[in-house]
Amino acid sequence: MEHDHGSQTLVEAPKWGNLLGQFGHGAVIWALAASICVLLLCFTNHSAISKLRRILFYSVGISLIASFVALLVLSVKDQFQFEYIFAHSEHANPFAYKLSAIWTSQEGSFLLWAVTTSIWGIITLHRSGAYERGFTGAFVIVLGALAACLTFETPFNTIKEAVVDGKLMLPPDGRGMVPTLQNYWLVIHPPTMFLGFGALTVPFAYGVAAMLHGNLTDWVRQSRAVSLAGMSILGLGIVMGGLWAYESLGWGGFWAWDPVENVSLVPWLMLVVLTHGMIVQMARGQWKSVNLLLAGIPLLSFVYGTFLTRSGLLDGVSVHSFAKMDKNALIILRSFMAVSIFAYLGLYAFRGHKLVGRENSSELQSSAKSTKADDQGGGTSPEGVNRTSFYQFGLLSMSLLAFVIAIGMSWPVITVLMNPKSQGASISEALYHKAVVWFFIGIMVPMAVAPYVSWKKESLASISKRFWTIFNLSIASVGLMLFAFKIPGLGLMIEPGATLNGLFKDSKLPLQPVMAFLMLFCVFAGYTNLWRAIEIGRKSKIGIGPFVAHFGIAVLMGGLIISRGFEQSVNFKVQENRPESGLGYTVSFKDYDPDRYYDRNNVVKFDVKAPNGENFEISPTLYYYQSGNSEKAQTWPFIKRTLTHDTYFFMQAPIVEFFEEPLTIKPGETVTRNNVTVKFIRPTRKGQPGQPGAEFGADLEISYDGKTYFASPALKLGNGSLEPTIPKISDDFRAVITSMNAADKSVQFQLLVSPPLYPVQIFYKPMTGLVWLGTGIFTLGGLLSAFYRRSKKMSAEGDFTPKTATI
Amino acid sequence: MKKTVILPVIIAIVALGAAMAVFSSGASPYVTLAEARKISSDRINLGVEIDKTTIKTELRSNVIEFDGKDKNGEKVHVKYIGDPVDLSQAERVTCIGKLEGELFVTDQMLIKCPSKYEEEKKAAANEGKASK
Repeated sequence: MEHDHGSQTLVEAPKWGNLLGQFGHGAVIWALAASICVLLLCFTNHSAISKLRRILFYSVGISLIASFVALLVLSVKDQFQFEYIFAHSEHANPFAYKLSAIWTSQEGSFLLWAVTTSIWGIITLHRSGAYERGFTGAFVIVLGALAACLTFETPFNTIKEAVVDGKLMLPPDGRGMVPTLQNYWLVIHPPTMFLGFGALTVPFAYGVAAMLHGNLTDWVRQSRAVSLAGMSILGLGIVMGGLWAYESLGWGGFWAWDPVENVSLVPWLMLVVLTHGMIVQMARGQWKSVNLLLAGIPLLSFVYGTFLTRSGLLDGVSVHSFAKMDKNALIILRSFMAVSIFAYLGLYAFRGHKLVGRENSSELQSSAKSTKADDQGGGTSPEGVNRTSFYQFGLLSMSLLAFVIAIGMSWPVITVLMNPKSQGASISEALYHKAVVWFFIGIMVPMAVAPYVSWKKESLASISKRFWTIFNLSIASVGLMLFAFKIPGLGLMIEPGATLNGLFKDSKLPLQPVMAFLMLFCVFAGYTNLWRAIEIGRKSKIGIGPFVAHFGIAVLMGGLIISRGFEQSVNFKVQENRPESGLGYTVSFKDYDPDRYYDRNNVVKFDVKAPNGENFEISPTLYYYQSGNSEKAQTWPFIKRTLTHDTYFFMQAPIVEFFEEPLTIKPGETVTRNNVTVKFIRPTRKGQPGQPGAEFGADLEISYDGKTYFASPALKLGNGSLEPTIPKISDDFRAVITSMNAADKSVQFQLLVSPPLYPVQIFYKPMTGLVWLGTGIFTLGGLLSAFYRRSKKMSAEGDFTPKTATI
Repeated sequence: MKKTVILPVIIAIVALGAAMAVFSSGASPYVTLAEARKISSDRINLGVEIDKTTIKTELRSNVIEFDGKDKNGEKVHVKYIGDPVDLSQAERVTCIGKLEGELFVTDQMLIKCPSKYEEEKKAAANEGKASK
């Protein structure tokens, strides 16, 4: 290792690169300093100072963005003198991966969060009008905390060891990116997520501002479009993460209730609750208090989740490897979390809540003579339910769902806190399903029914008349869908007699009725919302967005439930000339090119005969790469997509070495491992030592499965190096000596599986196409809603341009 | 309190209570062998340090057996039957399953590789030294 680069003359790292790195770090420090100034300037309301405060606020955002751009340039220009770029990039990376190298690790993803938050701040500040002081103050606390973390968790550290004679040298190449991350989804998924996370600060800052300024009405209109856009973008980002997992990780699923996934889901759910709470406030003037509380929760829950996953507390629970944060940065994050949560809740308890009470009572006085009944949401009859009731029930279910997930992801920590002697406990996927299915129903029913309910109170019976036909149609459709699984040729199948774990220990439920029950909610919600979208779309396009989004959610949930619930899988090992079968698929090895061992596009080809008689070729990727001192294999799953189902082939690196570690045997010794007995009969020698062609080996007796074979593997002296001979000993194995010890004449012996075994796992996943389709529809609907609800500019006096968006 | 507040509060308490009951009754505890013997749960998490020289793989099926040590250094024999896994990079695994006498039977193993980032940092440092 020491002289690996001896032949290469190291060049000094370019000055511009070093300067740009210093600039990037300096920009973060400036952002921190300017944040503190902005915060202090928020305490005065002088007009000249307001202007300065605004300029400084923009400078915070712009310097964080500039810092990000600096890192981007350093990465694209291969400035490996920086530890971060050295560890995550390399010359051979295409541009897209040099870009994504920025957010593959903690420092960069914090910077990305700071940048997206800055972008939303810059976009929204000038529209904040009468809220500006409070909004700026709250917003800049978030930006300042991120900047403070980044001053310690900096991606701009240079490699200390690369300094030679006081000069910073440029390492010839970087370590490159972990192969699993070299995927197009990793180029677009994290920025999408963080664009959504960045938007969470907007309602948070408006919530704080509303409570400080005492105007509890206009902030909703001001922050609604951003909240809706954030909801759509974050939702899309989360699904993208699922699609990445599906296409890359090889466990054939979209969602595994992993802590990292849950950390993104909880804020999203709470953002959904907030945007819907805003609808009730704008339409009915109700829920002012609840919305004030809800405005902060998406951001606060995300900060909590970030802390939970970055602090190392969950290490050992998740398959993700969580790098621990820099100690100082962690202290800042923890303080920020504690302060923001307590400050927000304190502000709400001691000020926000009271403001609402005061406002309500003054409203009551002023409108005492007017239609009081209408204010209270009452219609012609005080009995029955109205749309608000359904919102209330649905959003309560969703908040509880978010809370339960938050508890679930914190469970390992909670259990340790409750019993410090224990190592904690974790929640499995099946357990999550048992706990969350009730909330799913509580969300889907209001989502399906609410479009048919007016804001005036009515009896449930009269409401249900409106969707009764659609409900029956849904039942019929679910029946038809299940029937479709029985039609041969469609490619759909159900494992006969399949069961699910019931709610109680050891109880079992039949699969099909449970699935039919769950599917019914999706179909029903899908139909009602689609129908409303068409009905309303005829009159005006403005109202169509929410129904389109809900239709998309129903399709997406349907896809997730069907593809997971009716999933079937089988695994076996395929060998040349030994085809294997499972789930009605027959897989036979076809081709592999060992000369392209390190080629990232190298594939293993198999011929597949599908249950419907179709023949096709699959070609999962397989290549090897050097990692530290060992060689690692990377494989990518192969997905055969059809309209009705995906067949998901996951292949692992072929098994070549039979023993995990080579056996060390001395002459005369007998070793039994893995049901194979190896006896070292005698050492062998051919030719003169030191002469080319000389061979040193061992006569071995190898027994397994009741049969005994003889082999004489050896090491042959070639042109200055020892090459192993690899004699065949049976139809299963070849023998090889990997090294020998001249002192005690022992050899390191390995059995090679020949031809190699390819472990293959097949997942049959019906209707996965719905996941993609639903995602597209949902995002479109969400963006349509945001577009038609763009906030109007608010003057400093709090006046709006006359026409404001409708619900 | 108003009726519109009481009902949601009751729903919330019942729902959260039920969810907590599900979690606490079914959660898989992280245990040592000594603790595993005391509980009857059939889904416990056992962290095992693998003794690589003892790994036995069935050639044509996915049964893997190996000896290992728990956190306290106590020896355990693990039998894994499940989806194909690659143990070549693994030092420690979290086995999810149950203890049957002296045998730990598992159908799910979470492989803990040394942290990717840490590994890369070390490698970066080495390379930096090599560059001299």
